[in-house]
Amino acid sequence: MATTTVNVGYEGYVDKTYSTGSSFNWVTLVRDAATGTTATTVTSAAADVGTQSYYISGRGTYIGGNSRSFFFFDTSGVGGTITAAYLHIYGEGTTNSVDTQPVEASAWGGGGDTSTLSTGDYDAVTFGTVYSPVKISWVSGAYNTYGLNLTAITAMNNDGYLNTALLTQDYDIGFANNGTSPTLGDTWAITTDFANASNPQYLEITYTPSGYGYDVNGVTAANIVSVNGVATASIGSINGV
Amino acid sequence: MSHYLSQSLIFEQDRIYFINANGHEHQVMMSWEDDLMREHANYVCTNGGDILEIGFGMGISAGYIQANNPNSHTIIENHPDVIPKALEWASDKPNVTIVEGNWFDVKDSLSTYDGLFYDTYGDEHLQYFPSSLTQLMNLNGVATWWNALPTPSNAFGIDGVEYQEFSINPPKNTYFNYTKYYLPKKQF
Repeated sequence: MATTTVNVGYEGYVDKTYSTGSSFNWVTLVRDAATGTTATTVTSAAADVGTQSYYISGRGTYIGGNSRSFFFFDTSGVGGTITAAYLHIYGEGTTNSVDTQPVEASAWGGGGDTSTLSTGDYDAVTFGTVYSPVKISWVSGAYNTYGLNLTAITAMNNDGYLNTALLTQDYDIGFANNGTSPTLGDTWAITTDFANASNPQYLEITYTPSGYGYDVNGVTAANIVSVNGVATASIGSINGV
Repeated sequence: MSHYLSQSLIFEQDRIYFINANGHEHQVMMSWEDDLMREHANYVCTNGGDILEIGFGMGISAGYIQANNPNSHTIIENHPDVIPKALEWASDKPNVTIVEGNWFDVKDSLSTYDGLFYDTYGDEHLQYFPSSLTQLMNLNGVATWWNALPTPSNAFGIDGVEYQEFSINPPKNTYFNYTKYYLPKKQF
């Protein structure tokens, strides 16, 4: 086994807000909206609210909002088969106690061909494909860690990247699971330290190195455990081959 | 321009209202709020000093704030029909400054304050109020705002807010029809 880290390649968030003079269906008009209101690709360090859900009111106004953070990691350079991984997101603040969960996303052109987010990426998420258990707390001034599940690991091994969105679990994902949506007066938000070179979002990856994949003296590679005491997983070449 | 700002307001002694496209009356503010406005005003003047009031409305709270003789009293108002009323009201009050425009657009040009009262109508920037609050407050300053919910819930997600309960009996209207009002109090 070997370990490595992969820093985030692209990051940002897309939000959807809706306001009117009377109460409205948050799920229909906010959560299930096909496009967002604004898209923010973060390239300079900023502590922003990237993931949140709220439904608030004032005198003569009702406003609902939802924001989804998107992260893209290029894992194609990992030299082997990924067997375990942790997603680390640096937190800067929270509003109320918010549950969060990463899910599969298809922003960034799907495979990282696009380096910016658009409002159309708001719904570039697959609610049913979660990448880790729910995280029920959010730490400020430190990393928040998500243990990635087999679905995420398989995606990285097959695709060479992790394309994920961090959502509020209670409301954004939760509605799909149990029909929960914010009631008037609910505000849930986390602040993330985006694009900070000192505290980058990163993947902590454990993998089985591919090692030396050729036959040696007529013995097939699959049957070779080591050569001169060196494990094949640690051999890049033999005599320059 | 927001939908509200394009409405022609009608001013009567007991209320400000507009008639919407369906011919229905929508009250913006009413005189039944007088006692609540006095409470809000007295709270923001707890420390005296410089007071920021976001939303002039009928000027009820503005009058109560003036009764506390603040060092300065800055009022932000954005509705074109209310601005002249605010300017006229302020004309004989040397400690009052009327700022015309949307609070969200002008907030970065403001000072910091010892007391802040936020009470707007049809505000499309409502969600930015909590994150904007800190930059406007002095240390130990106090803030309060119109609470549209009949509960002491932390709707804006602002830490350390206390609520004072009031029993009320408003006439039927289009913006608040509850018998309890929970006045938010936040000290910085």
